[in-house]
Amino acid sequence: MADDAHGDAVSVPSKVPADFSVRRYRVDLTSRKVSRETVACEDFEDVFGGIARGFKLLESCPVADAYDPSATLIMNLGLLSGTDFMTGLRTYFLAYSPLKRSLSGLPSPMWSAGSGKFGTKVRGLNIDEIIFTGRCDTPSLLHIRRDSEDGPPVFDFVDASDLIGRHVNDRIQDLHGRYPDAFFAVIGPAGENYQHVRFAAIALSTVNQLRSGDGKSRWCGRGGMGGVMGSKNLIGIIADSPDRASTTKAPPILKELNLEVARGKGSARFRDKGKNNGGGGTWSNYSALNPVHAMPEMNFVPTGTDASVPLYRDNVEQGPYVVKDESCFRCGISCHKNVYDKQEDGKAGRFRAKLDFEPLNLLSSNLGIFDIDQALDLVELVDELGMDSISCGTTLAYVMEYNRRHPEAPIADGMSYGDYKKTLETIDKIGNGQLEQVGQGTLRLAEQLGEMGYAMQCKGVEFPAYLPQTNPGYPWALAGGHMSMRTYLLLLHERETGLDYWVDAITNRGLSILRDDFMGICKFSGMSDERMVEAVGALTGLAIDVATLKQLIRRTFLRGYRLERRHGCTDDDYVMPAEVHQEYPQIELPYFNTPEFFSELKQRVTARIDELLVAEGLS
Amino acid sequence: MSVNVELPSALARYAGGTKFLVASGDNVRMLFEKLWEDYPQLRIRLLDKRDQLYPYFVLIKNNVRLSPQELCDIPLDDGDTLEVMTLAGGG
Repeated sequence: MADDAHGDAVSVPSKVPADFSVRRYRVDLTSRKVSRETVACEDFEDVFGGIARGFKLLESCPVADAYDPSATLIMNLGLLSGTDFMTGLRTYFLAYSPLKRSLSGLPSPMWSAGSGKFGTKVRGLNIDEIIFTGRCDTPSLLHIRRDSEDGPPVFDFVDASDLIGRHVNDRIQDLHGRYPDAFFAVIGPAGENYQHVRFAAIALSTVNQLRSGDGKSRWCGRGGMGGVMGSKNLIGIIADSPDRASTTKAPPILKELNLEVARGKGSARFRDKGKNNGGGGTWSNYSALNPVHAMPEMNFVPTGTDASVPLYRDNVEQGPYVVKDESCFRCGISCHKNVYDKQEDGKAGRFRAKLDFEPLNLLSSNLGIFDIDQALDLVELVDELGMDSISCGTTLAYVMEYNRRHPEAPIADGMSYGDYKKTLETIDKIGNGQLEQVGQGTLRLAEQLGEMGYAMQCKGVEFPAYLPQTNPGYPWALAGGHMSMRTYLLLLHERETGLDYWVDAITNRGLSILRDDFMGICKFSGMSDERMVEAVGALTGLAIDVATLKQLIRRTFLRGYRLERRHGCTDDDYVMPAEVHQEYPQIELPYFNTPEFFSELKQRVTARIDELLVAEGLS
Repeated sequence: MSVNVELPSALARYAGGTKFLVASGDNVRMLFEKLWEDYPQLRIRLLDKRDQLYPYFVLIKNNVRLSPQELCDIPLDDGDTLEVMTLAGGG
């Protein structure tokens, strides 16, 4: 962001967007030319960055093939990325996705965000945004450093041939040995094999990872951003800057805000149970959702049994494991639930995997696997190959369901529910580009097989681990479901089944979750808009009120939706798999998402969004 | 016996638009019964058919998390705070 926007304590926010500028670098990977632009901000979208500015940029660079060398890959920061605001760690990658697409076949706009310390290092290099085009002629790393404290960033290309084929953590530890002050964004084998894997991810290194040597990356997982990076022969980005020395006194309110992030009620669900009445993190969803059978099992059809109970955290901790809550850089929430083998002395031994609810669920219960040791292996392998665990897991579930229905002609070596060994082998093949049939993701596989009714995706992006039967908002999520449309647990909490309610949920309340995708902070911070306005004012001097922030959220959604429409999406793309609309009596929640309900909902949501586009001048 | 109750934000719409309530009751069961009288829409969102708190909520009394088994008979004193916290969350 603007040269004077970060690091200065501001008492009275008075700046307007025109007071800010963006330090943007264009990197042509073919010619290896780098150019710098200092772009004056025209509006709040420009100032905040992330997807708000990213969508504006993507509007100007459409492509027909996400892997075309001319395709644009944007890496940028949000306004508070790399600041002293707790969880201000987000790095965003935006591109036209190899996974998300319209029925017309055109790739759709997509983004993915990750924490760790990489974004902080990018900020330390005085970079707000890098736009990549072209393709390196050989596998390459981009090493970005500064020769002097106040000097501009220097971009060097480094041969990466020696990293090819190696697992993600192995690459990161190797790079850490070579660049001890740096943090890294790298792809894994899946990203290298992008032509056969559409859900490759980008790993961001963490402090804990570099200290411990364990595979504890954070992930820009969704939408195949790792494949776009791989298609450019860009194996990794090295953000190499010394830690920023604070030259100015932090604004007094910062301590209060950070205390609220670390100990407040907004983040309580994601803290450990022993920490200020924490809820235990996302893993708690197992014991929260499974008793009412509102948790995916067997390709999103709950068994209505206790099969998943052994995977509850309390039960896992009674076995030979130690679960530790660990954190991203300077974050007090410590949402990571890292699982270790328990040593004879009771202490943590070998690191096994980092368990969030979704990787765990979609690579265990949703595959009919209810053994924690097997689940740990699967989660760890998907990470090490550099894949999105949500898309990979959901696609595997589709394969298993297809094979259950077609025992006479199974695919993927006949992999079936509960078959740990074949699942492990299949994941390895996908990540190494040896099983394109599955690596292409659920939509394309289902189209090929002619069975769409239980292909659990919208617009090619696989559902996350929240039942689509309970969430008719999924089709309007811009980035694959829960983290870009906050409608996924509404039925559980509010039990409303009326059309008016759901139209408002999808076109108004559900959009609020997009705020942090341009703010630069983690969604787990749970901060109110009022507090974020205070934070922005204190840290950057930008004068913005809550109403304007809400409008910015709305405009960002509308830009993303408009981009989808411009890239081939029609009303026919905003649908759900047919079997989602059936009644499942074992789910102890109201049944309402019938075909008739959804049809009427779609008409009204589409009409409402059209009204909003006109009102915002974006039609 | 006046107890300060804090609801999850999502349930404020079923409690007259506020997440902060004051209710009375000698124990949690009695307090809940009073709440249902005033805000009947809350009951179906907090309790299951067996009158048990749904598994995705926990109760926190005066900053101490209560175990589900002991909920109903927990005594309440004047000025206590009782928070209903949501467990399930994304990610």
